[in-house]
Amino acid sequence: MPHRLFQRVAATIFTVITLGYAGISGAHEAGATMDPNGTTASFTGYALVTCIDDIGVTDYLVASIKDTSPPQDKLLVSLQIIKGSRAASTTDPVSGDGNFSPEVRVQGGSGVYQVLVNKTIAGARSFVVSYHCMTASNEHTATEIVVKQFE
Amino acid sequence: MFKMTGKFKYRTLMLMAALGLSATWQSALAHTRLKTPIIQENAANHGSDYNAVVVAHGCHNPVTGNSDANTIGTVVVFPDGKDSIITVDGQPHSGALTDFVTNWGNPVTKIQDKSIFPEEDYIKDSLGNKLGFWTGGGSGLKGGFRAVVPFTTAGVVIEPASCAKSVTFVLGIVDICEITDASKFNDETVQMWTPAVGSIYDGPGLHGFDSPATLKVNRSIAALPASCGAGVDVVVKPSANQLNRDLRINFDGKQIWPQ
Repeated sequence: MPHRLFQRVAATIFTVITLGYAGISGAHEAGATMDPNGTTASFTGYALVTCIDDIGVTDYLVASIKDTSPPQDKLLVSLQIIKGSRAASTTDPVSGDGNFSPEVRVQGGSGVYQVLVNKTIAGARSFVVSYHCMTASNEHTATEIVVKQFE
Repeated sequence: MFKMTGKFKYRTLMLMAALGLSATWQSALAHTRLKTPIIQENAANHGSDYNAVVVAHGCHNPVTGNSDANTIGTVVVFPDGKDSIITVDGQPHSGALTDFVTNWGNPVTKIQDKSIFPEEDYIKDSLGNKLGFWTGGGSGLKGGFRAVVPFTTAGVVIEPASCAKSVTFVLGIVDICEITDASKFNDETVQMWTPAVGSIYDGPGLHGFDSPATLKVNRSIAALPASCGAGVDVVVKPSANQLNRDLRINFDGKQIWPQ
C-alpha cells in the first residue's frame, strides 16, 4: 500500500536540514552562525520584524544580540533596528560570556521594522537575537519575523 | 404513528427531493478551501490569524462512482513572493510584491494536530521561512467525511503608499489519495487545487483544474492615498517554478511525493 510510506514509527526523527540560516522561533529568539566559512567580513543578516497590535498598541521594538562563539580579538557582533527615520544599534562587547548586548529600542509603533545583524571582521560567529514588540507599558504584543537575507 | 395525507406526502417527497438535490449540489461544489478565506490586514491576534484548510471530499472512487476515496495526505503552499505571478485588477504587474505588501515571506505556522493525519512538517525556503506544510499518514481521511487542517497566518501589512485595497494570495493545495509520480496524477490519485501556471500540478481536465483556494487580505490599516481613487485588487499566485520546487512531501530526509 503506497500510503504505508507515511506509516513509520512515531519516534521517527525528521531530518533537520542545517544550512546555517537563521532559525526562526516563536519565542522571539533566533540563532544561527554568520560567515560559517570565516571569510566574509561583510556578512549580513537581514530580517523584517512585524509588530501587531493585539493585547495593546505597540509602542516600540526592543532587541539585543548575544555572541555565543569563543572570544576572538577584534571580532564582535552587532545588531541594528531601523524603522522610518529612526534607528538604533548595539554590540555584544564580550563574546561567549553568555550575556546579551545592551538592549536597544526603536519607538516606531506597530508595523514593520528592519533588523540587521553583522560583525566587525571575517570569522564565523554563532549568535542569538532576542526581539520583542512592546506597548508603552511594556506588555508584549504580537511579534513576527521574515528572514530576507543571510549572506 | 403519523397518518400522512396525500398533500403531506407530496410536500414531504418534494422536501426530500430538494434536500437530496441540495446535498448533491453542495457535494459537487465543495472544493478544498480555507475555512476563513477573507481576513483583515495585520489583524492577527497573538501573532496569528487562526485558519484551516478544509478538505471537502476525497478522490474519485471508481467502485462507488463518487468522490469518496480515502485521502491520505494534503500539501499546502503559499506564494513565496519572490518570483510570484502578480496581477493588478487582472493586468500583469512586472514589479515586486513589495510594491503592495511590506512583510511577506514567512506566512504560515502549522497548528499541531494529529487527529486525522499523524505526520506533518513544514515546507521552507532556503532561509528557513515557512511557505507551507504537509500532513499525512495513518488511515487518513475516510471517504464521506471532511477534514479541517488547522494553521495560522502571519499578519500581512499592505504598503501604505500603494493603491492596493486588497491582496489575494492564491495557494497551491493537493489532496493525495495515492502516492504516485506526476505522470499518474488523475482524479483517483489526487485532487489538485492549484492555479494553472504551467507547473506539473496544473492537472488540465481534472476535477479541480485551475480552482485554487485563496486568502484575501482586505486593506484595513492605512487609508488609500487620495490619488488612488477606489483602489486596486492585487492577486498573487505562486510561479510554476515555485510549485514544482515546493509542493512536495519530504519525509525522513527523502521526497516521497510525488515519487
